[in-house]
Amino acid sequence: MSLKRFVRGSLSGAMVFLFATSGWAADLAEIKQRGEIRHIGIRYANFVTGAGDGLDVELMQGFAKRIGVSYKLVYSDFYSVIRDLLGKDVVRKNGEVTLAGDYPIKGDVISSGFTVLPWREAILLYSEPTLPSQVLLVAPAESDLQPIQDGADLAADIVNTRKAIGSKSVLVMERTCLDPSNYGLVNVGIDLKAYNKSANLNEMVPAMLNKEAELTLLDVPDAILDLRKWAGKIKILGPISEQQTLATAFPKDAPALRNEFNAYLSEIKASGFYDRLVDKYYPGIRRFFPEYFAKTN
Amino acid sequence: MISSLIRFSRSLAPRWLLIAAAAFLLSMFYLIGNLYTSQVELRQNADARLVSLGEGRAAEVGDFLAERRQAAARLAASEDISNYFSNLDLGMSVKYGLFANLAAIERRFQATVGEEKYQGQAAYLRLAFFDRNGVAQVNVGSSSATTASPMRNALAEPYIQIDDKRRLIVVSVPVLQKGKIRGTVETVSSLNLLSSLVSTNNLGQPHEFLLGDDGQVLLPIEREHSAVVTEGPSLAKLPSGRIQPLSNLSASELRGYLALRSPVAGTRLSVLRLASEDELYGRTLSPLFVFYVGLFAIVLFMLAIGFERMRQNAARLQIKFVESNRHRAELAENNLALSQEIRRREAIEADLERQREALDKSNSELRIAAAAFNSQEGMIVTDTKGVVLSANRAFVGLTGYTIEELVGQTPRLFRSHRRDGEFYRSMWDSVQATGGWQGDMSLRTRSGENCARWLTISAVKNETGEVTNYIGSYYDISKLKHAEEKIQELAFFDQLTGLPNRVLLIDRVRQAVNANIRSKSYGALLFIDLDNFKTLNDSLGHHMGDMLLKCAAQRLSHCVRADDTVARFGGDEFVVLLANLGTQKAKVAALQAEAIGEKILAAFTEVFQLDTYEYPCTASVGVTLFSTDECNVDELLKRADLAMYDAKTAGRNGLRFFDPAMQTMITARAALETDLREDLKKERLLLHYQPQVDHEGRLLGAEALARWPHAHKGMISPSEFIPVAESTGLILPLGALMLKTACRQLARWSTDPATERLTIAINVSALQMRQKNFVEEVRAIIEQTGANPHRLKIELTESTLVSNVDDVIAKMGKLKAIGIGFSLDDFGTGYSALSYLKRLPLDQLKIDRSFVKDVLVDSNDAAIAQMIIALSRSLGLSVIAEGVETEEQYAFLAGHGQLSYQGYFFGRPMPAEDFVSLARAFSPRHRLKRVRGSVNQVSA
Repeated sequence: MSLKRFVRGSLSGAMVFLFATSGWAADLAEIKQRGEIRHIGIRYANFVTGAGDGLDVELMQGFAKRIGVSYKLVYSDFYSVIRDLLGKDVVRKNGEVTLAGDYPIKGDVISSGFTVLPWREAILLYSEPTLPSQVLLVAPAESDLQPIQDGADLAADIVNTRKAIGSKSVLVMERTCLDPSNYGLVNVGIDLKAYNKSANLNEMVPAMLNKEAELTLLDVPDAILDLRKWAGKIKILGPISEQQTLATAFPKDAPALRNEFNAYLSEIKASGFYDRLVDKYYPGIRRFFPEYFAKTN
Repeated sequence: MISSLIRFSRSLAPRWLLIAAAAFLLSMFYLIGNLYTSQVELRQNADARLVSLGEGRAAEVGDFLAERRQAAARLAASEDISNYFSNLDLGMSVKYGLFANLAAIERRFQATVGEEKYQGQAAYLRLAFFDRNGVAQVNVGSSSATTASPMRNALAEPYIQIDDKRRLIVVSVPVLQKGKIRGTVETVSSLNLLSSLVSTNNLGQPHEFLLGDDGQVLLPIEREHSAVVTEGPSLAKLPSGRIQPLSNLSASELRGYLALRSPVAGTRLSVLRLASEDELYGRTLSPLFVFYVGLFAIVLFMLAIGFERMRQNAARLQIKFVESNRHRAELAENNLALSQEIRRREAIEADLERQREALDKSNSELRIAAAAFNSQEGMIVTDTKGVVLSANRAFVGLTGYTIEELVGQTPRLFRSHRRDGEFYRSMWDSVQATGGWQGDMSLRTRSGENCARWLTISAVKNETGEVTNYIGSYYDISKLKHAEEKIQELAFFDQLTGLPNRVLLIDRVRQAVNANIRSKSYGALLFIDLDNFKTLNDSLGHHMGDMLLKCAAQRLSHCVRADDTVARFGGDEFVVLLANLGTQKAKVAALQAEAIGEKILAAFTEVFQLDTYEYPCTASVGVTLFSTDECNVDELLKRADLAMYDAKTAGRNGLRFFDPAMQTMITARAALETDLREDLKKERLLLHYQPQVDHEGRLLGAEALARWPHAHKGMISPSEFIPVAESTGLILPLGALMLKTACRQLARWSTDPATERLTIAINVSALQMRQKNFVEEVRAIIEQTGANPHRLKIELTESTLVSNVDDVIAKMGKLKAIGIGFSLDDFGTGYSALSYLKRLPLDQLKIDRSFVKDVLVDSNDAAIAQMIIALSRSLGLSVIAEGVETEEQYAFLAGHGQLSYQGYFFGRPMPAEDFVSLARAFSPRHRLKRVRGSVNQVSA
């Protein structure tokens, strides 16, 4: 099955499902009534490790505790995650995003290092940022490409990094934060290699090291983990994107829930719990985004 | 067995107190020993406990520091830091990559700071990671504990630094990546963490300290114990691991304390523990005190035992006193007997000592005798008959005979023949009469040499006085004789010239005067003084003067005969003694003395070579004769001296006689010599011919006799001018002239029948014969004159044969070969070389006129004449007697043989013309009387 046919079929189905199951979208009251909050998570970096913990797992656990409900983790992937939240499939066409089909709503909130993107904001409510991020260009250690020199200007760094790609092939993962279309990499002569064996961003680096492409895109949170995991085998060449924001996503019809979450988030940031979680799962990210954490603190 | 035990126990019974004391002493020694050992062990245990505690403390501190060092090393080797450098090496920037590693490191450090505890306290105040440039990439912990980063650049090994001011322990370890130092990890801990390891005691005083190597007190934190702080440098130098009393420190608070310094391994820290003796050992007795207490008890007990023993001894002494009195009496008797025995033995010992001394003396004498016998002097031992029994090595060496050759021989073996038998008999008689003899003796060695020795013969007698042996000692007196000669030389000879001095001269003059008085012959004294000697001395110095004197002495010595004496009389005066001039005639003596004087003057005509100077020096000679004059020596010397001054006055370089008559004679003689020399040149001397006849009166020939018809003085006797000719050397031209004249005469005679058979005998002096070319000269004359050599007869005197007789014989042989005959003149008056007579090619012996003169009145002369006649007969020679003046003489001689004759009885010497007349008148047919008468007529 080609990707086009898959998307087309899914979109028509999603629109039907959207209307059929819209009653399933739950706000705070309903959740409290139900007594359970369902957390949709994607096994991705240390946000949702798959082992029952992760930054977003603990955030949401804390939030569940705050609102007095039980917590349930529902696993999803980057292709299905919005559908699992909204019961509709997302269709992006010509810059427009539409929901299509009806699908079962599996959760109440998406929290899994979920990047705030404009098209996502069109269909989702985002909380206050939970973590900053950025997309980097990564190469194997033996690559003849050299990391760019630190520059004061991020835009210049991005330009330099993109120049470095040249004719090298770049491994990307569509519909994720590593989607090249997000960063203007499509149709600009870059040899893009879409990784579609899995929707797990953790496999990008191993795939690159497996020679599936000469370079790969990688977000900062993954980069922090992979620099330790693949120390000496990969190297970061430079930034591909501007700074991004990760946040927890809610259905558009759950503003109370989002607000409650924002209140919760402010509270834990003030109490230091948030910092401890960040340090626990992403040590060093403070160093990468000092300005963000300075504001947070 | 049992009985022996009983006896042993009984023997011990009286000593029970001693045994008890010994047992008590042993038990006390045992107790004290145990007590002392216990105290020592207690102290050793306390020391060991303190040492162990100190070492434990040091180990704990060391362990703490080691843990810090290991922890820092672990951090430095952590994966995060390794990853950091790996990514750094890949070129990643901090912003896009390394941030993650640094974050991981920071997280690890934070975890370490938060988790690492030590005794409930945070083990670290701060952790930091520096890159190679010393830039702190990670810095976690208290900002108050930051250090000046980096602590150590390019740190190669872990390093621990104690910051006592900030009370920090800073551990720095290098970060190694692939064997290279890439950075440093630094941990900072509080020094106060160690305070729990340093305890204080209950007395409120800290007794345990942590010291730096410079003596800085690091712990405890409270430093009230200021004495330790002030004495820290001294305490830090205490030997480690040994408990030291602090008696030498200036701080009085620490005196009496014991200190133990335990170094912390791997650091410069030390744990110092202080403790007083009471604290360390408790309040126990000192082992020394225990020892003294035990010793005091023992002493007390020993005193008690001693007193008891003294009491018992006093009782025993009382008993022994009584017993000793009894023994004393016995001892007195024994002593008396012993004293007598001692005296007897002393007497024996003294006697033995005397015998030993006598024996030693005897042995010593024997050794001396043996040594003396083997001395450097020759010694022999003989029996009473003079048979040699032994001789020492010196004697063997002296004589050259071996000891075997000497033993058994008498001294005749080595007796010198210089002494006659009478001498030896006299010596032997003296030996036998007196038992000894000594005197000068000459030994004859085996090689025949004679050695002068002083012989001492001593008789050896036995105890009865009987002579058993004789010992002859031959002392070497050669040195003595040499010394005597030296003394004599010093006494009688002048040291400068070596000539006899004034003393010896006077002695010899005295002897000569005495001798000449006896022989009535003349001697002469020549007093010689060097002219102008004083000038030489003053101008060139005494050294040159001495050289001249020595040269003058040599020249003088060459001018005189061997029997004469040249003496240095003093200064530049010399005296020549002509002891015997061999003549009783004053004139002859004067001539001889004058001749020697002239010789001396001639010797001084040559210059003297004195070093580089050629010095002309003449002499003045004064002469005096002596014979029978009864004048003493001083008078003679004065005369010669006066004559010498006369010569000086006459202008020096001259000769003067003391006697004016002598001087006149000498002057006349000189004139005669001049005339003779002149007339010889002009051949004015003549020959006169004295007839020689045979036993039957037939004329045989003539003896040619020289005659000098002086132009002014008339005919001069040969006895007058012949000595002048001999002394001046004119005898040679005179002889040659006479020989030439005779040969001419022969040649003339050969043409006359009356004379053609006659011979001419011509006298040839010894001087002529010694001429090398005499034979050739004779031959030349014969050839020149045409004389018949068979008619020529040469008469030689015995003086011709005195020297070089072989040369004379050879020349005679050569002349004999051409027909010349030889007659020996004056036979019997001088050198009677009978042994050569046979070798001489003679034809005739001539009986001297002195024998013929007294042949009728002197039996000796008659015997001589007879002997000559008999001798010539036995030798086959003819005989001619000269000086026959009377018929009686002729008759006597004719009665003993057929002789030829010459003399006035047959004819006087006559001129050649007269002799020819005589010969013509002489006819063989004439009777002897007629001949004789004719001769006399011619002579007349």
